[in-house]
Amino acid sequence: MVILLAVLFALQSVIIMPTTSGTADRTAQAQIQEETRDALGIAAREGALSETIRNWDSASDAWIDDERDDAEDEPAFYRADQPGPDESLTYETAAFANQSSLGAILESRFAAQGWNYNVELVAADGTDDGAFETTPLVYQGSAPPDAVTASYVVTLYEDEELTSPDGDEIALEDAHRDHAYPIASAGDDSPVYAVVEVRATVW
Amino acid sequence: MVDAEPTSRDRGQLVIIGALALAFIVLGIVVVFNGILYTEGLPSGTTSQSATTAETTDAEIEQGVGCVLVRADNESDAAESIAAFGESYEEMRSQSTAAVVTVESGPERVSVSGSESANAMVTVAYDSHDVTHETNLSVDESHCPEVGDP
Repeated sequence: MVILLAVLFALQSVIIMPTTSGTADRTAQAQIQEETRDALGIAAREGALSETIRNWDSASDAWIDDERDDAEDEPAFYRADQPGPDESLTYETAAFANQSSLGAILESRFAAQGWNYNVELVAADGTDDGAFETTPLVYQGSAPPDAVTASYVVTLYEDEELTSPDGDEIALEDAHRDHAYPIASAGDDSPVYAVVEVRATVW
Repeated sequence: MVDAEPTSRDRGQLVIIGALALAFIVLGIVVVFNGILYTEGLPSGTTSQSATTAETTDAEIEQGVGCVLVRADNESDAAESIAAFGESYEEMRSQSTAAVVTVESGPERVSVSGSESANAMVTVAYDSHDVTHETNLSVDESHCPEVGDP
């Protein structure tokens, strides 16, 4: 009886540490989230975030040195060379840092310190059923439950063009139709092309 | 056997029973307290996941409306474009957060012509489980970032 009670008691007791609730405690999580949000805000301020999500190229074989003959020159974000989920090409963190100011901030603050992050674009898929499509920009794996997210909504306009070196003077609508640009037009004749959420998940 | 009159042996039993009772009470308190602390330490889910705040919302809308104004020729066009932007924005927000955002403006609150830079008054209502606020943003063309080389 006494032994049974002792065992039950020992099983019940848990040592409570700052990390009991996850790898980082809640204060640290809130701070990471705030930093991520600030990174997005700073990147958006000069319009760089909009340029980043228009950095689409029609042929990825220009920078992927693929020895296979059957390598397809599928369209991708400029200089994205990592296979992501659903067979798309995503950035590796260093390449993303070279291509965008958001990437540079995230790389120096998070990647260099051993944090992982995903960056993805969420936009309406252009159909009438109100569904949304997610496009990964950086994909480092699926996020654990204690990851934090921050997002920033960027507006794209009809008269804007792709920003990759080969994409000059290709309007977004043509890019979507001819070059598989993943963000569809909102579909009406207003100057607003689409409203895109840039979502960063850090863990 | 227990007699009617207390003996020294009876007092000893009383002490033992009292000590045991006290010990169990202490153990019980420890178990309960431990449970409370542990529950408190667990993450409370959605609070750490909320993806945006009211301030970010204001910045996003200022930028979006500012760039619409740069592209607008007259008041009714601008108001129409702002309405279209507001609709897309509200839809986007409703799928990504638990907050409800509404964006409102109208032709009478937009001024495009004239020598001054175009400006618009936009009412933004932000409503989530812990924050509710409504602001009137005065947006002009300077809120649209200059597009330079990447």
